[in-house]
Amino acid sequence: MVNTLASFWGKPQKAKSSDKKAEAAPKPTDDKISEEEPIAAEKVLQPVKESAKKEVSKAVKRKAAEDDSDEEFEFGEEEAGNRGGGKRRVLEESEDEEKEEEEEMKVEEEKRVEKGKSKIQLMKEKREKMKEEKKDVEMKDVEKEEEEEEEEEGKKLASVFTSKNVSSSSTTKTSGGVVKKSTTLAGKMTKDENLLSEEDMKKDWKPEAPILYQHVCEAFEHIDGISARLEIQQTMTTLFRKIIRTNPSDLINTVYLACNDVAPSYECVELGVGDSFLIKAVTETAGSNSNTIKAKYKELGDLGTVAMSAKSKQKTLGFGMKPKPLLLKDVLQSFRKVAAISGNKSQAVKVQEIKKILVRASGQECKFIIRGLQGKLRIGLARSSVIVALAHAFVLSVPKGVKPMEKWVEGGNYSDNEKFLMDLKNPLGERLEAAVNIVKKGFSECSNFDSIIDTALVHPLCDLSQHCHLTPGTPVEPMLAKPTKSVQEVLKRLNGQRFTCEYKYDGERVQVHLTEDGKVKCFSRNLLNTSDKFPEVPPFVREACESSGVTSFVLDAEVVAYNAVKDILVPFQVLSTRKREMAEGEEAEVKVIVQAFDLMFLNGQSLMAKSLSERRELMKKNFKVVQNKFRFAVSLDAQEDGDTTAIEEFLDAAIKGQCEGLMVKTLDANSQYEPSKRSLNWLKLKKDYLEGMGDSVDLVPLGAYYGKGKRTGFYGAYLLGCYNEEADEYQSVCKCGTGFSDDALQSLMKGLEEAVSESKPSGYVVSDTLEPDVWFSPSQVWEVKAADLSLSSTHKGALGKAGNPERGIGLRFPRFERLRPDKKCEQATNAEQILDMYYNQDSVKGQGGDNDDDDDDLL
Amino acid sequence: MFEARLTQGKILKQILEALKDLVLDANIDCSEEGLSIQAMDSSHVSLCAVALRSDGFDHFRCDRNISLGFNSSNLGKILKCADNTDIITLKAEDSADSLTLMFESEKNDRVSDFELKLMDIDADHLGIPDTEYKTTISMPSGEFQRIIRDLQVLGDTCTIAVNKDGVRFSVSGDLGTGNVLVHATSGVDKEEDSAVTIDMEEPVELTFALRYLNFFTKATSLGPTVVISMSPDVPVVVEYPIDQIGHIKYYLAPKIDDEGDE
Repeated sequence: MVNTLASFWGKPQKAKSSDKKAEAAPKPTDDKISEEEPIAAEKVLQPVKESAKKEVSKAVKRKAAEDDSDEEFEFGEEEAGNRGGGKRRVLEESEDEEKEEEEEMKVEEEKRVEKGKSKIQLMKEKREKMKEEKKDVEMKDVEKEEEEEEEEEGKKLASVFTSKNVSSSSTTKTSGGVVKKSTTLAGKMTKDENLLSEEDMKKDWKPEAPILYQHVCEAFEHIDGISARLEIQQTMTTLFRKIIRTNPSDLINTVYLACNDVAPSYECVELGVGDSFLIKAVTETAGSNSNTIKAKYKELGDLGTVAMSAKSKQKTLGFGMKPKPLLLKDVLQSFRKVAAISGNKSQAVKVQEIKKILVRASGQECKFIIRGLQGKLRIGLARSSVIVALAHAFVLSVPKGVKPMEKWVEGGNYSDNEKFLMDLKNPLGERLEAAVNIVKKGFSECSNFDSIIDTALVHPLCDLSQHCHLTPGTPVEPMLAKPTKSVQEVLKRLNGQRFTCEYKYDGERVQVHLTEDGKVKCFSRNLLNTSDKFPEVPPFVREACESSGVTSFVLDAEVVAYNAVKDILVPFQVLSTRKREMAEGEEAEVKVIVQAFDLMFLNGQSLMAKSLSERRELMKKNFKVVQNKFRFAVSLDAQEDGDTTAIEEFLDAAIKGQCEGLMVKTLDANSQYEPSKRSLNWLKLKKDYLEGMGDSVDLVPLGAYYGKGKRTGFYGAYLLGCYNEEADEYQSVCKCGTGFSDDALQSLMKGLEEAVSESKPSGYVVSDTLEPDVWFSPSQVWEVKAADLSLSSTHKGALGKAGNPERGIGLRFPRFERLRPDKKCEQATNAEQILDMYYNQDSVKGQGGDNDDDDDDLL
Repeated sequence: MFEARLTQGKILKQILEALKDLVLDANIDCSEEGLSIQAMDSSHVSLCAVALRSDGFDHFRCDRNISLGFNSSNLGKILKCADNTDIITLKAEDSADSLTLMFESEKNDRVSDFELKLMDIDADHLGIPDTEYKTTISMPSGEFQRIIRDLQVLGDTCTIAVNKDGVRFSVSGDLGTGNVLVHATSGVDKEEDSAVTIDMEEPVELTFALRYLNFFTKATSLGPTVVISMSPDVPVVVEYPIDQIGHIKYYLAPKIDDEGDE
């Protein structure tokens, strides 16, 4: 554990714990001095301020306890009676109850909703009385507390610095005011607050105060410990609601941190922080050395935990200054800075920036900062859960300044979900669901949390769709498809519906936007602006819609390399040889054609909610085929009737036509456009997913890479090679990390124990960039399936024989199938076979296979 | 107007060398009493404090208290241009945004001057408490440097234990363990620079990150002795007195002993 100097002369971590002890000492019976309540000297002031509130709520709870004959509450009351009236006791009492309250809340939230209404009456009454009675008592207690506190402090620390005394006494003076404020705030709480009664508002959730990063970390930590999705959502909901209540401006920051983003995904801002940067930052902050940190990282598999433990071992210097608590927005700001740093010496600057926040972080905060920077919080918090929680929070804690939802008036332009949400008579649970759908839809259309939250903080949720919707110019997450393994499976899923099959083109997904001001932009599947990469696409599309006079649209299409002379499509490998940016006036060697298949927006209207058949009709009406430039995806409409032959024939035709396979989509039912969703409504049928297509290969594990995260302690991926008989050597063909069950990971690792080799065995042809963490001497043969084979500059299969002396053949998307104990290493698939398989591919046959370049896809 | 002339210019050069690995940016605080620099490293684990008394300079004038914020590597680059034997003069206007450094060679045949752009550093000045330390060790600075260097081979944390036998520096790591025991010098040699004296009220044992101790030993050239003061659970002070003019002090927060708690 590392100390920073702050802990000494300031408010040290050590001192904190001793303070805690000091508090615990007078009441050893109270075993519930909760760890999560930092009862450090500096915090004691805050509880005092909120105590009036707590007293009130306590009374309410007593009442509730009587009503519900809740034993826990009565116990709490008894204890209070036994121990008499010390202020501090009361405080902790209410903390205990807070906890109980929280637990209870989780278990029977729904139930409480019903009860809430009657409770509110009680609350209001009690609150009025208590406010008067308690305020005076509180004030006295405040001072008493203060004195005790200072005495204790004096004992603990050899020297208390004057500045500290000054600040504490000034707080005392103002605390009366704060008490008043918080009670009036409590008085204002409306029905919607019934789930989040003020007991849940911990004492350090001061109104208007910036949210501490610690609060978010606490929620993260809690989520880390649970796996039930509903509970996770509930935790986030509670967090969001507290933030809406105290400081709504931090809500957006929380959402970004929870999603581990720094900007909307279409802005493609990346943190650009590698493990090595982080190791360096952690090393320097914790006063450790990088080898120790690396060794720990290898052992624990999580740099966040390593950072947390390393940091806690070094104290820091403070010399009387309180360390500034880390604010939520500081962390996000810092992340954004890190992301923005680029260019010369960027590594050093990034490390500096990371260190700055790490220094201020303590405990869990370090862990989540590091994980955040690594890009994986690893607490099982999915973006979808964040969205659900956000929607719930907005319904349960209506932000200040939002008009209460009005009863839906006939004729209003509202969707079913919105109408349902507005009708307060509907059960809360279902209204929440409606809210989730509204927020989800809003997010999928504008994929920007900022605008959603900004809107929801000002307008009721039922108006969200009026403010957040698809706008040409802002890319929308493309709709994705679920992979399927066989035609039968496809039919099973379709279940009697009308559907269409479209060619799945082997190109690049592109979203073409025409904005009202007449500009045409293209976006890739990752929402990157690709207008520069495909400068010919905008004019092509413009030409296609010239005659119809559209003013704006968003079109979903595939850009495919195209040979106009032979009128054939060319595989993706060729398309990817195009330059990233085309200079002005330069003409690309590789010609492309746009294959349009969907239309999401037309003339100022979002079409997302329309069925596919309607969308397609509008697309075909407004766009025209342009020779060699713009076409519609070839499609076949059918009704599911159990007959597979039509689809199979169509699939064969697609593959012959240089396509990857088929996309199968329902035409009417459930056929609205669902951004970023791998929906069952779109299915992809790819040739390599199909059973029996393409042989598996038998390869020899040459080496392995240590696993991370879930695979800590095992090998996470293996380097596999084929056997080259001519030279008696093994040539690497792929790095394989999929297809392993947990058992397989374990047994394979065990089985390879004896084969581990100190250094790279002779006769291995492996490029340096692929150097594994562990080498194996040839000992096993594994059956592996792969999507296809392609030329690679890193892999060495049949090196130099596939047209290019520098390059070998690699497998794309390899997947471990099983161990082949019946085969010897020399009987593994040999280089010759790999070469044959490569040439047997339709895509290679077509064009001689001399200019592939898709190293990015090689795993 | 601030002006300070130091015949032994190399002291400034050495101070910068002793600072620059630990501290990125810092303020030189000038007052009638002299110059002081106080800065924490970016991890807030250690603090470096330099004090140079005005009477140690040949000429010292400071009309108003001013703070000159500098980037240590930039200042270091400029000071590299001065010879060890040069006389260095520092000059700054009261509200200046730059610091002038003038180097005069020993024989007075060359005068160079440099101007360093200053920066605004908002560093909180820390009130370092006067602590009575339970033990104070004085030893040759070269000896200390050597011990730290040797121990660094073996591990990253070093335990310094003082008891009646002497001072024990120990380290353990993957390679093995290391111990260096230094006894107090007895009798006649006590006044020598090479003497080791141990002033102990009660035994103290603390653990520190060697990384920082190693940074501290960069100040070795500033003086023949180093004074290490320790008390349980507070930062250690490693002080290098600078003859006739002041000192450079390092504070380092100890490591928390984690035996068994994880």
